[in-house]
Amino acid sequence: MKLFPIVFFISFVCFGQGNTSFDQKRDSIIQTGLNSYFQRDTLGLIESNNRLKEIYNINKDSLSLAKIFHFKALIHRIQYRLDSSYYYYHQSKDISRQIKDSLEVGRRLLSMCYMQKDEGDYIGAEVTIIEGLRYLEPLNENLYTAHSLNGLGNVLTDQKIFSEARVYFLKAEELYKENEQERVREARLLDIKNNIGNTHLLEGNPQKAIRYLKEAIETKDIKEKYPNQYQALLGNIADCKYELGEKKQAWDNYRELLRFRKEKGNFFGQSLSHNGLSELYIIEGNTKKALFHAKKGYDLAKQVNNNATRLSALLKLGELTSGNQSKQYYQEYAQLNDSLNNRERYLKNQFAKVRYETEKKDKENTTLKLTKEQNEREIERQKQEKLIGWLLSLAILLLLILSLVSYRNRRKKMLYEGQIQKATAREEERQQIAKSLHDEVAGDLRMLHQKLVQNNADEAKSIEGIKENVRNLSHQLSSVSFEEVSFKDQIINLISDAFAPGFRITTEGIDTISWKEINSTIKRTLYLCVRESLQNTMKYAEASTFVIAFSQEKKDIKVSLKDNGKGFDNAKSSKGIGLKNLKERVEEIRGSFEIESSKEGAKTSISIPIHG
Amino acid sequence: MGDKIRIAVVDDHQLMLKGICDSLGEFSNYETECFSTCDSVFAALRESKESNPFDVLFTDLSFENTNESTRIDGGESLIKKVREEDISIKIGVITGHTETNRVFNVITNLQPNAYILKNHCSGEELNFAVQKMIKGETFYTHEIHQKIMNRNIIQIQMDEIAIQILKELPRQSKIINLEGKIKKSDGTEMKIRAIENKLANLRIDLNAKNNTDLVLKAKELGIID
Repeated sequence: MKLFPIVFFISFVCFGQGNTSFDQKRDSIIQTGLNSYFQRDTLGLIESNNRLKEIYNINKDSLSLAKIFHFKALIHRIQYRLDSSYYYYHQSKDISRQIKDSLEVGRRLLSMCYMQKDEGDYIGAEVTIIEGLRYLEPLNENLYTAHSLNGLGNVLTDQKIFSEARVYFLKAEELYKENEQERVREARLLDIKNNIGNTHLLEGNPQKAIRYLKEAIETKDIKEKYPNQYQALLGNIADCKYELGEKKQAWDNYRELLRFRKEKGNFFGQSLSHNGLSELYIIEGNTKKALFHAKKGYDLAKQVNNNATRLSALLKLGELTSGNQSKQYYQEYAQLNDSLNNRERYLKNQFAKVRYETEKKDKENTTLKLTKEQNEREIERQKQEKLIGWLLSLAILLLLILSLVSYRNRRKKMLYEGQIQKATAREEERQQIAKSLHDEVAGDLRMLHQKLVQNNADEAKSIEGIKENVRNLSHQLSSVSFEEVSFKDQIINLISDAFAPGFRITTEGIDTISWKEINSTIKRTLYLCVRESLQNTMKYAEASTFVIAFSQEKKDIKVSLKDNGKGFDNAKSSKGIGLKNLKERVEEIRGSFEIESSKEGAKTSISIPIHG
Repeated sequence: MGDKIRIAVVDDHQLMLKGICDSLGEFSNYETECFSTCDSVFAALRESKESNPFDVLFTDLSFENTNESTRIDGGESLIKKVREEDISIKIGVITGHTETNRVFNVITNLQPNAYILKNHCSGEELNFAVQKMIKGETFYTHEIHQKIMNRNIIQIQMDEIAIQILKELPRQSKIINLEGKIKKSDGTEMKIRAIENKLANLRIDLNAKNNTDLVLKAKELGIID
């Protein structure tokens, strides 16, 4: 006779974070739901589950989701839809596993183990409970670990591996002893003793069994405090005594048990008792009483869905009755047995299927995850490659542009330098001509003049004029030595030469330019421009002021030369050799040279790039 | 002989050379030697440096009788060479170059003891120049003097700080009051010592006796209105 407590949800510990109102609300709903389950209140349980769903819809937390599946499992379990129940346990367990809630995983597996065990799938139950223990043991938690160890012991007992079962019962006992809740501890220790005693009894050692059982049943107030344990113990003790031949005492115990079960309204237990008594009466040969108890047992078993007892009772009824009635009982027995066998097979298959499909799904998920990760990696790699490609082509493009620009700059610079060189060469040539003019022509003229002075004064005068012209020409061509004196000093010298009363020359911005950094060809050209313009103004313009304004704009040096003279006719002006010469010089070094004239005076604007 | 002043003259124009030498020869206490190239006069100066040194050298600036073998090709180079050789001698420039640029370059860079223009030079002027040079003074022909003066005026006109000082000077009773009134081109104030230095230089440039004279001269010359 086997009796196993099915109470696993005695103390529900609120774990997780109780610090938010959501968590508190959720925990209270879970508690209400569990109470409904213990009272077999399907509606209450469904209601609690709906409230959990609302919470989940707002919160989207995995903990709520796991509980929703758990409750679904419980709802199906109450209604004996074990395959569905098993399925939802499985789902709930998987979610808990994903959020690494090992305790919940272990508890779900424990429930699943008992379902499998109850349906005779002992091997499956063993596998399940061992898996559960793997989750629970690292937690150092003693209640559910002990429950699981006890469960494993029960599964092993069912498989008639008694000594091993006892090892696990003892392990569970150690843990139960550490439990701080007195009622839980005592009840559980009674269970363990009963279970151990049961193994000895089943092993054919009633003497040893009865020692454990008697020790347990002598617990104080056991009937009031632990009625379930008392019933189980009393049943087993009676079995032991019967085996040991103490029939009278056994009978007394059986009757006491039935009486107690009736008192407690335990129909399941009553069915067991009646069935057991019937069996005893058959052995004693009391057919009438045997038939009575068999019938009672059969009715009660049918009422509480205790199929095993019902089957056993049917067999007895078939034996005890005769004719048509007996035939009917046998037929029912055969039908029930077939359907139970089918159901057992079906459930075993279902359990296996659920496990298989979840595992498959898991595998698929893992494979999908892997593939997804691979794809993502591939995409990432491609992205990187693309980026590198872009960067590379950008770099190449930049390099190309850079080299093109530097090439053009170099070309420009070389061209400019070439032009400067050309300008310098021409300058040297001019200097040479100027020198010759000054020294040879003017010198010879001077000598001629001195000779003529003694003879003919008139001719001497004209020679003097020619000499002056030649000197001027020479000065126009020459630009004297520039290396030793600063540009500002040169300009001052130039203005000094033009110094005359009633003629005011002013300069602007000469200090804003760092002349040392300017190429000497540019400076020479500017100097000659100023000189030429100044000489023209002095000779023809009848001006009283002359303004020389220097400025630097970006990469150009600008000079504006302005007088307040009478101006000149732009159309008529054939541009003297001096101006033509200057314009040429400025343009040689890429500058611009412009002259405007009006009644208010003439203005010359020169702009020369500093770096070509 | 020993008391005589030894003068070396170098010019590429024979006529000019002869004229100068003749003019100097009229004075009995001068012993004059004439050279037509810079190289020859430089060799003579170096040779006689210890034994019988020259006191005065008159040189032209441009020489046209130069060829491939000429080492010193003009007056400026000659003056530099003489100075480099550390020959103790007074140097006077006799030339036709009147452009301020050339004049200024020669005077600032080579600092000759005299600058005389060929076209108006006479024996008396040469003699006066030699006397001044021997005394360690400087002699510039009047025209050159005028040019330098003009140049100083222009320079002052272009010098913003000088203009500021000259404009501010009549308004202040004491020079010390000028402090804080004069701004440099970068916007900072000029220190009183720097102002005083500047004033001293301006007085020299414009040949003024004191600050009042300086302001008057500046007005007269049109530097300030």
